Amino acid sequence: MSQPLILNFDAEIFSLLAVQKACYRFSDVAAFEVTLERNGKTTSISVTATPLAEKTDESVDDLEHRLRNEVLDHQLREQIRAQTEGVRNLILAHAFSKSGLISGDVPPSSV
Amino acid sequence: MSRFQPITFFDQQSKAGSAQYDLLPFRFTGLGDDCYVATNVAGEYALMTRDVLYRFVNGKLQENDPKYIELRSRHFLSDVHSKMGPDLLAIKVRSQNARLADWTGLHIFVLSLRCEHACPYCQVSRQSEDKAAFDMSREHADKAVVLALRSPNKSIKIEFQGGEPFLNFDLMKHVVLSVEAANSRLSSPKDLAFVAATNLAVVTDEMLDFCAQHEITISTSLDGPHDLHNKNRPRPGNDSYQRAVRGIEKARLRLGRDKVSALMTTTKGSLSRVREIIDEYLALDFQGIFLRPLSPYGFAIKTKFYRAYGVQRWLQFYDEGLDYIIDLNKRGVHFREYYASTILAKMLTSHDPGYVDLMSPAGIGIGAVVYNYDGSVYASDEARMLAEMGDTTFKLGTVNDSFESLFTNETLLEALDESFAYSSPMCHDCAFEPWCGSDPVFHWGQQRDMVGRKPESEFCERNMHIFKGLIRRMEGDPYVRRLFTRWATSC
Repeated sequence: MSQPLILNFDAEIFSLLAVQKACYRFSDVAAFEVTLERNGKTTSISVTATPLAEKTDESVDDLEHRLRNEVLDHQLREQIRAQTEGVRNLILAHAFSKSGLISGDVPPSSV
Repeated sequence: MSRFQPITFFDQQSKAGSAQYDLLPFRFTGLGDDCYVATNVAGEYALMTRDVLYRFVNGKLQENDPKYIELRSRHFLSDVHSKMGPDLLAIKVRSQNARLADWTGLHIFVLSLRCEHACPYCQVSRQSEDKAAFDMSREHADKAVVLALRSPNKSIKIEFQGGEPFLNFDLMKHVVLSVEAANSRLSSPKDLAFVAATNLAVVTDEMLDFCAQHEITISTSLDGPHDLHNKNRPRPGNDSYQRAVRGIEKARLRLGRDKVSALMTTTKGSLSRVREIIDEYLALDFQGIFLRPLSPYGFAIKTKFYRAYGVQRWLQFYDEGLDYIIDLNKRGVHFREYYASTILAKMLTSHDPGYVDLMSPAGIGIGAVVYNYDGSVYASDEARMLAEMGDTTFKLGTVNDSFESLFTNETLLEALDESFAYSSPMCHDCAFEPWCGSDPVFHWGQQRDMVGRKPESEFCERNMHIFKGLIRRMEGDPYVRRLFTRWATSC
């Protein structure tokens, strides 16, 4: 079985949620432990990935590379979500207004 | 006032260079080779490289970049020239979800579990003469009819399932006549449609006459060439194929060509024969085929048929079949793959075909409901198959219960709520979520988890592969793009 893989992410740059989501994405090949480590003024997110016993070395070989890219992607997704949250809620509210699906709405057929 | 902007408006646009734009909500997923697919809230997609993706999100995309124009036209950004973007997106989202307000349209009546076939992959059927034990009673059917017509949906489809539903033909006639009579008494009668899922082996002229009279369409099983079909679908006389083909011909003559459709199921024996299976459908003059994997329920699990091949092997089978069908079209043979057509309609239009497995919120209960032979009510066809394995998790109640208590059943509401893909782990961030579904019954059956752990989900693996494959084929060949657009718009 492969040795545990230990990775660190700067908490100033990456959110805990982005790291957690990236780990979940690879939960079929490894078990993850995610902890926050404070060192003076800096905080890092530490990830220990233990490859699952039944997985081959091939499937975990590039785990570090794939996990780092996945964290980057999730961080970008958070950025998009923050920038578009207002308009997303506006679109969904408009889409479902007067559909009768929301309490107090009047369905179009009875207008 | 002119209906068009003056020329200076467009001059400003082309000279502007660096653009001021707002992102509209979108998600992205890797497609491989530094390429990402992004989808907006209405499921429209665009491809971009990692570099373009980062420049776009960080407000660095130039206004005269062709990708900028594409992203604006597909509602990934709004700028001074596209203030209508959010409104148009809202209308598309509204169109795609219009079905939700209609509530349950498909009502499945399991008239009998009895069947003269002994298919080892079958989920539920019994080879038995015991009508009392495995046939639906008239009393239960009458109560199910009342429940079906209680649905707020203006269009009700009654599907007769089995076993072999024509083994309980008297009850089929009774249900059709009862539904028609009760519907005619409604202040606003509903649009009714009937379909019988049958192997056609026991269908008589009298039965087909009744089907013609009441516009009951036929959905039959055809697994491929005669040796494969008969091996998959054993019955006394080993003549399932011959009876199916004869039945298809007779039903077409009596009901009309477009009233008869067929479904195949992939067994281990099918895997190396996808071209022959498609050729069989062509020879019988079908317009397309639905390449289906085995479902992990009932006898398919007991007989180990389900584990006879893995997801990746089935996907090879699917890919070979889809490429063959594309090739046939290039040679002038009009033929389609129905699962791809369903997905393409979601990808390329604002129309959701309402395929139960690809719905979120899940299609259980609100897309389809099953009245089982014994009067129990299940949230989907797969839910009653699971029940035959002893797991009644998705049992909503019985036909003796009220419509309100059945459809506010705690298990149903919990399953719908928890499995909603928009808020499920991994699905929430997935670019394919607008085209995908949640299928809580499948995930419960496989993982004892209604939401499903998606990194280990065969449902996720299968659909992700198909979504990516459809995009690659479209982007790589303008002919395929036109072909897929045609499939999508006529689905």
